[in-house]
Order: sequence, then structure tokens, then C-alpha cells
Amino acid sequence: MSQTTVPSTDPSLSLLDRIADEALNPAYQQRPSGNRRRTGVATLVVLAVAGLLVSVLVVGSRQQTRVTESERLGLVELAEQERVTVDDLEAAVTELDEEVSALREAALSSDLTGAEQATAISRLSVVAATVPVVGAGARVVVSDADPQAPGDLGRVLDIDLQQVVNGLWEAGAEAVAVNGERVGPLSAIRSVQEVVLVNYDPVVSPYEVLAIGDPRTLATDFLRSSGGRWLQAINLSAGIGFTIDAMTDGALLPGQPVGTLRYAAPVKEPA
Amino acid sequence: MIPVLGLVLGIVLGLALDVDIPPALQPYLPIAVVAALDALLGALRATLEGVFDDRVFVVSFVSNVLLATLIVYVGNLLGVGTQLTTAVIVVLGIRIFTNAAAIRRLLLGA
Repeated sequence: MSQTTVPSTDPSLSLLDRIADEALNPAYQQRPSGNRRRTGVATLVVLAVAGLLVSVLVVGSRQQTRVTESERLGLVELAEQERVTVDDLEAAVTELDEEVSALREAALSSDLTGAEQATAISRLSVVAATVPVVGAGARVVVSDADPQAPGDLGRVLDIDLQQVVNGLWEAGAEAVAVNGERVGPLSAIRSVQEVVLVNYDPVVSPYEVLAIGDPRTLATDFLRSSGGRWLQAINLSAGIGFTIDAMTDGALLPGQPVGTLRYAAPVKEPA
Repeated sequence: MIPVLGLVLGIVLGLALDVDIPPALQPYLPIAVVAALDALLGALRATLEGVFDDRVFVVSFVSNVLLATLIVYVGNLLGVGTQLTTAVIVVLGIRIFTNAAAIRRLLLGA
């Protein structure tokens, strides 16, 4: 009563065919029919064992699922708690920051020396470029000439931006930033391979140099400064494009974090 | 009817006793159950075809379960446990499917 299967031409399928053909243990058919023993105790025991196996597996895997689920829920709860903790700590940090500022202000404004110190701190942080500043001034935009030009010709170099920034200081600028990178006392403008770095951050053409100063004189003074003359020279020789505008609307120049001072130490003034 | 009673008895025992499987045996239980299902369906088909034999069934059941477990155990030792499990499942799956189809034809005539 076994199935008839068309022999497969594909040898890799013949294995599967054989498995299907022998799905019924061939031993069943090979037993002489007279000798067949019907259901006995052994069958009963084996069937009971089979039932036991199945139910144990089902119960076990359901328990496993339950355990996994409760573990997952526990982790979710833990994550929620930790997130709340983080939020609390962040709020505490903000609060303490405000408290520190308020206390410093209160401590410094209590007497004349303190008030002077507070003013000095805010003026110095502007000069040190550690705080954002806002104000009018001048905008100088320098851009590469022809990107197809061979070599360094027609490309703005670090020396060009250095000349521009120096010219702006010369013309009376109080704060300068190149493409949003504030130029402070420890800033460097230099090229690494073909990229110009300001404060170790790469900047690309067009370079927008914003300077805060007297909006009526800064742009014209800059044009007459060494930086302005440098720009005119490279414009003639290499085709570097530049524009100089007075900036009457206030621009915001970002602050720049204080670097670690490892060697310079302040001189203690005698009390 | 008696064989079915044995099966039901086993299932009830398993549910009632809350048997704890030793962790060492846990990876082999699923494959053992699949092998057991294969033997059970083979026995059912043999019964319907009128060729059921007590001895053949018991031997095929025990050897099926032990062999499947052993293959997976050896595979685990060799680091190919998952692949061998797949191979065993494929073979047993084909047999289960074929036997189930034969049983369906015998019972429903289609």
C-alpha cells in the first residue's frame, strides 16, 4: 500500500523521495502477517511516554515564555526608573548652575571691589572669546577662484585667512569668527593638506569672516589695512574672490570653550 | 481505544506532575518530541493500513527518539548542533508530512 513515486531524474531529489517513500517504517510491511502482534503493554507504555514528552515540552516552553516576558517587563521598568533619575539629575544640574551664577553675582556685587571684578570677568570673557558676543561690524567673504585651477593657485590658503583676521584686528575689530569658528587668543588658522583648520575644525570656501567693531569705520579701515591689501593682491594674482561689507545689523559670534592651560600660571599679586 | 488512553494518560501525567527537565537535557527535548511525533504518526498510519505491529512500533519509537537526540548531541559536541538539528527536522518533517497525508487519504479517501 505504499505510495508510488515517479523516480526523480535529479539525484539530489532522490534522497528526499526516498525519505518520503520510507515515511512509513518499512519494518511494518516486512513483518510476516501471521506474526503480527497487536497492541500490547509495551505500546501503551511508549504512548504514555510520548504523551508525557509532549505535555512536558508544552508546559516547559510556556513557562519559559512567561519567564522571558517577566524579565523583559522588569528591564523596561528599570529603564524607566533610570530615565526618571537622569531627568532629575539634569534638572538638579541646571538648578545648581543657576544657583552658582546667582551666588557669584551676589558675592561680587556686595562691595565695590566685587562689582569691579564682576565687570572685569565679563569683559575678559569677551576678549578671551569664551562667551558668545553680539554686535555690528564688518563682513568679509573670501572664496576660491576656479576649483579647476591646478595646484594651490586660486585656492584660499591659511595665510590668506590669517592676513584677513590680522587686518581686522588692525582695523579695530573686537571679536572675529571664521565660518562660525570664533577666533580667540589660543586660536590657530592653519592648513592641513588641502583643508583649512580654524580651532582644529575644518572650514570650507566661501570663508565668511565676521568681525564686530565700529560699523562705520571697520570695513573701510580693513580695506586699507595689511589684510585688505593682501586680499587685493591675491585677487589680482590668483583670482581669489572677496567682498567686504559693513555689517549694521548685529551678528552673533559664538563662544569657544576654554582650552586647558598647562604651562601659563597667573602671577599672584601682592595683597 | 486502549492506545489512545495511554497517550491521554501520558499527557495528563505531564500536566499534573509539573516535571522539571534537567537543564542538560533541555536542548534535546524539542527534537525528541518531533521524533516521537514521527513514530506516532507512522504507527497511526500502520494501524489504518492494517500492518501495525507492537514490536516495530516500540523499537522505532525508542530508536527514533534516541537517534535524533544523539545526532543533535554529537552535533553540539562538534559545534554544528544547529545545522544537524535542521537536518533532523527536515527529514522528520518530510516523514511526518508524508504520513499525515497518507492518513488523510486513508481516512477521507482524498
